[in-house]
Amino acid sequence: MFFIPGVLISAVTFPGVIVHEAAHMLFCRLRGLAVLDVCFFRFGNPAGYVIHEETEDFNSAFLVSVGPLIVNSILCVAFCFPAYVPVRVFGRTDPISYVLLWLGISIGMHAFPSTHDAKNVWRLARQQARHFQPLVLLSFPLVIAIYAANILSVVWLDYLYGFALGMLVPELLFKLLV
Amino acid sequence: MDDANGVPQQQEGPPANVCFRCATDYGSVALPRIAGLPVCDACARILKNRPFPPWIRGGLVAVILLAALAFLYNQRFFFAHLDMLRGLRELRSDNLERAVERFNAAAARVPDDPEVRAFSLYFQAILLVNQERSGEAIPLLKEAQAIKPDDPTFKSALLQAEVGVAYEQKDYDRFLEVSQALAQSDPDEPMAALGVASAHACRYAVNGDEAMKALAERQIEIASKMQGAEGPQFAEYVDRIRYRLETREIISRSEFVRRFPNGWKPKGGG
Repeated sequence: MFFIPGVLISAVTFPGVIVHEAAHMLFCRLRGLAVLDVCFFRFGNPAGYVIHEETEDFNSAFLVSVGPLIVNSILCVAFCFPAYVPVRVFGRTDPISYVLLWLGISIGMHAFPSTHDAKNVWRLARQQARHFQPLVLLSFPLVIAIYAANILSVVWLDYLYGFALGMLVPELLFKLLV
Repeated sequence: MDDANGVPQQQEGPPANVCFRCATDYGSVALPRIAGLPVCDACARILKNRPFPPWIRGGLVAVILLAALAFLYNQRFFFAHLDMLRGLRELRSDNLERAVERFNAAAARVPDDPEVRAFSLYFQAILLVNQERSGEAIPLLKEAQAIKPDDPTFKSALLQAEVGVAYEQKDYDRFLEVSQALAQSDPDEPMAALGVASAHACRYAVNGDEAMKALAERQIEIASKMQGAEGPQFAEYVDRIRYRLETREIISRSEFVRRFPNGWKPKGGG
């Protein structure tokens, strides 16, 4: 496994960074949280950020944190789908399909929330655990998955996630259509 | 919120009556706070409904439009892929005719894709062989083989069609010759081994030479010991050969099935 600086990866996959931050912001808006500052992309670490007011409402914190997982994953499939069949099944090499695959996989790669987001959810989930709310119960394995994904990103798990989502889900959708 | 970006901390911060965003001084009115910072109502509304910049909205519309156009432009590939998957499903349910219809539809959608054409030609040919129209299958298989000359499936299917042609033309010497070639090219296939037995049985039926009958019986025995020598198709083929050996009458598979819809048992046999 070879090492590529994160800044370079972010630069190559910048659409994913932009969508990631836009997803955080979208859920802030939907949940009525004030967004104090936002950077959709920059050359630096982090490559983007959304600074929003903190909330003690678990649902809001959960949705704002996992927003990128939802939005990036959906857009990854949406962009890879039109390119999947011509490229993977029929071996076509038209540039538009490759642009869509790059776009889809880049967006899918940045689907995982950061450990900071996971920490927020974890803190509130622990407080809410006694209420047995489904979202709270779901958040525990999700937080573990987010931590694992962030650790395993050094072995390209984020790329694998984007690739698998972009390639496997369209095939699965086709099988459902048959 | 992402790493390395905490909520701005208020150290000495703006006074409680001055909006941190627009810097308007509200005199003696203490402003409500967001993230510890005093904010006037107008600014609070803006912060809670912060609009997406036009380039984000425009960019999203542009890429969605691109994906939609790509989908429309490539739709023939999607429908061809669906036809192929549906054809494979029909094959799994032993519905070769419907499968061929699907594969033909797929090939018609992507006429510039030779592999799909070869695939469709192959199954069309197999259907023709099954319908005892092997002569019509040969040009299709030759075209498929021209597209993929190294594919052993097409080579073997072509031999199978040639076997069919020889049988249909009652040229049983040729039938034996091509059946032996087919069995040699696929030595682990029990049905190919039975093809040789079938050819020996035809020759016996024509000239009554007991040596031919013995060869046919021996070949049935060899085929029966091979791995995969089971299932209704294999059993029916054996019955047809045995029927030929017992009656010295050569009838087609369809005629055999018509006469003995519940199978045939040799006289004195179980």
